[in-house]
Amino acid sequence: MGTRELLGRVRMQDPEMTVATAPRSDSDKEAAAAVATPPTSPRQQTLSLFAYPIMGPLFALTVIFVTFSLTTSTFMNAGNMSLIAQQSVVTGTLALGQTLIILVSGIDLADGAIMVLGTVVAGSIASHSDAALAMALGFVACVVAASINGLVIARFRLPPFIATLGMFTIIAAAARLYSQSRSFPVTSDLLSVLGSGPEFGKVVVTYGTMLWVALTLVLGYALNETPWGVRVYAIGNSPIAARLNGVNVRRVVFSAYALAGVLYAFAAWQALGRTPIADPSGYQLANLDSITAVVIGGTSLFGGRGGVAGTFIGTLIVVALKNGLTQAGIDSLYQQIATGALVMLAVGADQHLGRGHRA
Amino acid sequence: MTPAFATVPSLAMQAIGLTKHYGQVVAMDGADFELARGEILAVVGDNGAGKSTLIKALAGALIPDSGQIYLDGEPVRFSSPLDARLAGVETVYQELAVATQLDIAQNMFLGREVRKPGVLGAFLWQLDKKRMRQQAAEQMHSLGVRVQSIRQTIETLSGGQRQAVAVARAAAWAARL
Repeated sequence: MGTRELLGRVRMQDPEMTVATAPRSDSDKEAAAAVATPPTSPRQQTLSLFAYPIMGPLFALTVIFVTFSLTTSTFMNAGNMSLIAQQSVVTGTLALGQTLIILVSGIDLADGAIMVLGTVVAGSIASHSDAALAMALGFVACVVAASINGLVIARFRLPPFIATLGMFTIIAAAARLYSQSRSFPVTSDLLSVLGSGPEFGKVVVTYGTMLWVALTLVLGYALNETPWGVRVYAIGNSPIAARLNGVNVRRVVFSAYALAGVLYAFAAWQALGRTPIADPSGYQLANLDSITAVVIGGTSLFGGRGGVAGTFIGTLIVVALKNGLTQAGIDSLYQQIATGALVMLAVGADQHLGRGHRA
Repeated sequence: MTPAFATVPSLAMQAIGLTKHYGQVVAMDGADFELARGEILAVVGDNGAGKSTLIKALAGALIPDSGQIYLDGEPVRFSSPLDARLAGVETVYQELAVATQLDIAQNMFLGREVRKPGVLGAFLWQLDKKRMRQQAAEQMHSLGVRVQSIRQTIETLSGGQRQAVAVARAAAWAARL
């Protein structure tokens, strides 16, 4: 098709589009295409604030830390900070996988159940066999279960909510059937190693905490620095545009679910480090906790906006809030109310901003 | 006729008997299409005449039920927009097909991102953002489109600017048409 001709027509239709006359500076290549007059309308300012969506969650986290530091004497000390980190790792690692899935406009209600399946498989096999083998099979179980989600959603186009709701009940029941509803105490050093770590003074920095940070960094790299990451955001933003640009949408969506499965496997390992018992009826609300962390961290439920840095902070917000309210001696039911209110606030902000953007 | 034009202009693209049904609805019934090299062709017709269906079939965005497409005389079969694109056919879609939350450079390179040379690109798949931004800026500049920054997201652009990005993208990549 005659693209030059098309462009000619476009140019005539749109008087805004004229030949750039901005002075070219050799030092700044971007200036070549840029124009020296940036208009600052209120809309523009909202957008530039929005360009750093991590600021909101970071602000909330700061408020929580300052508030509890002032109101309780036990919150702000190295020991409690270490505890908050340890309390964060399971939800935090799950939430990394959840972030990936939400970025491609999905949702995973089965993540907690898949993680529990992983712990049960690993725990049961470790009770009579090699720990390394047990761990490997636990990983396989998580990745296979998550990949089934990916397959039915990417290939057979089931709505993610329904598909993972189905998988949630199936996996939860399967874990119980497999274990005959027994739990398995884990004695292996390998399986519970993430709960330990080097001590600095009296403060433990667990390997689990380090792993959580490392996984966040690796996933952040994958999302921000690789072609795959750009495609994940593009799909969450507009699957049609992504497809028309030659992105294999099915494959990328599937890869997001499968990779989330790897993260759930790590979460299972984290869970065994935290409590060395593989209990098929444990972590029943882990799915909601992970979604809460993602949403509070500023990742949009519409997909295509957000990231793992926000999720990392979102996890800390949820955990620090619970931890602080406990230190302040407030009933855990109030803690749940506070978390629920925070989720609604976060989703409300997302909805509001999202709608404004789509207009 | 001068000797230079003595040969019959080869057809860049040709389609014969393209048909597409959506259930009971016949969107396109035996459409033929010819486009010579360097020719600019307008497809005109009433609403619902099948213009978009024809273009989509030629661009690989939909698979015709029957008929055959030829590129430079070679029969081709596009099962996806990627196929068409690899064969050198670029399209500017009505709906522009831009991802509004990605920036201009990301949109221009979507689906064929450039990786860094060496180990970083080969094993760590690291994007060469600097190079993509530079090339995108040059492309926009050469087409006389002005934007504040190549890193602006599409949602901050006006309708005309968005169109320009879509056109610039097609023009940048078009190998044949």
